[in-house]
Amino acid sequence: MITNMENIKNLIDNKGVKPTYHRIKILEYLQDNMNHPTVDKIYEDIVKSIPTISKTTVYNTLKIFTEKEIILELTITGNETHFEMNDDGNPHHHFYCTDCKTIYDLESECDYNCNTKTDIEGNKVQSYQCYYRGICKECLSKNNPEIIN
Amino acid sequence: MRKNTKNLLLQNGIKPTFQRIVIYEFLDQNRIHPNVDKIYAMIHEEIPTISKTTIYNTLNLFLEKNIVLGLTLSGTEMNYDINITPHHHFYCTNCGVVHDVFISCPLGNDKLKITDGHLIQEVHGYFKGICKNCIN
Repeated sequence: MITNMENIKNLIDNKGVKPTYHRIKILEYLQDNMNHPTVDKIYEDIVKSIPTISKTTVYNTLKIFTEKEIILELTITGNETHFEMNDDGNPHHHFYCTDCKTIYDLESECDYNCNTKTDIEGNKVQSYQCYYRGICKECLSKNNPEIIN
Repeated sequence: MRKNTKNLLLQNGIKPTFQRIVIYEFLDQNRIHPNVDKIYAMIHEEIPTISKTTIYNTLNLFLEKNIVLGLTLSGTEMNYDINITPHHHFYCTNCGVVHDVFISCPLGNDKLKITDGHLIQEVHGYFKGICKNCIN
């Protein structure tokens, strides 16, 4: 039986990154926490189980994972970067509520397929992110229920 | 020019102070998606008494009133765009320049749309890669 830890190890190894214990733990954390954590949140939670880990290690690891496209960085809020697992098979857009500051995964995809474009006006595209900003359904139903109906 | 800007600010409920007019006109004449530092550095030459706090506060007010757009594509800082008609952006990871790209986005043209129950007010499409100037 292959454990989850071995799965993660293989995933990192296949991308050409040395699967150190810290790197495995960080990726495992991101796999278990799909709520788009920031560096601070990741560090705060992981340091509880690994007291010797430094924030620099977390930063560097996230940077390598992003470069190797194992994870995605979301710059949706404008002041902090949030991270999530790169789910190649299920690309999705994100919605940021400017009221409660929550980031949602959107189920509805726009049908323009921007994520498949490799060339735009002569520029070579390497990655694509689409962000929606507005008021989420929770905040709407609390403050402006008339908009939904 | 100054008069038009003054009216535009007034129409959006913003008191048209001299510094706000200068900042708005700077953004209008320099469509380079500048960050706060760049805006400060360039306006400071013209108005040595202006503070960075004034620039920050003015930009936040402009964002709030939806007369400029805040781009969050770099992840570390906000870039400001005076062109509030929906369009996508391309960020060159080599030279750091933000280019406007004009691809028609059906969602971007459809403001105030409800998706998955959320009210969408802004659509931001960010492409990253190498721009045509750096390829050549």
